[in-house]
This record gives sequence, C-alpha cells and structure tokens, in this order.
Amino acid sequence: MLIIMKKNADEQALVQIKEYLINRNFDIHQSTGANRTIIGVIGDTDSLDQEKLEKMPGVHQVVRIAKEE
Amino acid sequence: MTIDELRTEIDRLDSELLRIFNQRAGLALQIGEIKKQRGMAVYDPRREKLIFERMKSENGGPLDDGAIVRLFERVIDESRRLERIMTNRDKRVKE
Repeated sequence: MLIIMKKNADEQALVQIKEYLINRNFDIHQSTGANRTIIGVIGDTDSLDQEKLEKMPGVHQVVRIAKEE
Repeated sequence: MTIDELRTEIDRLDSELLRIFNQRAGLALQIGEIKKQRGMAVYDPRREKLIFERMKSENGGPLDDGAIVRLFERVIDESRRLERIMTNRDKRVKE
C-alpha cells in the first residue's frame, strides 16, 4: 500500500499517520520528495481501513497494490 | 585514478558501510530492548527529527540535504523493522 501525502501536509500529519501504522506493527518505507512524502506500507495491509486512512489529516491518496495472480 | 581503482575504493567503503550499518542496528536493538522494558513507544518522532537535523547540519556534500534525509529515513525504517521482528520473536519465545 502507498500513502501519498498532500503537498502542504504538515509534519504533525505525517507523525500521526506514521504512529498509526507503526503502532499496528506495520513496516514503513518513507520517501520524502521535494514536494510531497510517500509512505510505503509493508505487511498484510488487508487489515487496514483504506477509507479511514484517506480521511486522516494530510493524506492525499491511498493506493492499494493489486495482488498478483 | 583509474575506474578499477575507484571501484576498489567504492567496494572498500561499501564494506565499511555494511559494518557500520550493522553496528548501528545492534545499538538500535539495545535501545529497543530498553524501550520495551520501560513500556516506551517504538516510534519516537522527536528523536528522528533530531537525527535528520543533525545530519543535515553536518552534511558537507556532494549529496544534498534531501538525499541525506532519504538515506537516513531508510536506515531508520530498517532499524524499526528489525526492532519489531526481534520484539515479536521474543514474544513468541515467551508464549
């Protein structure tokens, strides 16, 4: 799963979402770009509520990676 | 220097980085153990911010600050992952 943060997302929003994921035992790969931050979520993300994540402050888009056949 | 000589030097530095990464991970694991004993959170955003700020202030290039932050984000993400794996393993052993 990829969580793409808004361009204007503040640091507190990023801290909040990382805390949410790490407290649920997910590994993350954070990548901070010039304009926005992308968080790669590693693990069994089926248990994550995509809608809830999308409503969190600073989140632009949540992308689930399709399972391979 | 020739390309071969430069690559030999890169190989030497990579081996050194490997040793340092593992040394750092070992220290992070020790901190993880202390955090667990004290019931402290694994994620400490304040500490991460301090690491990034310190690395940027000490950065003499040619990597820019953004690259330094991205590299250390990966190092920290992997330290946290290792800490989680070890904690879960400890839990299973106790069960």
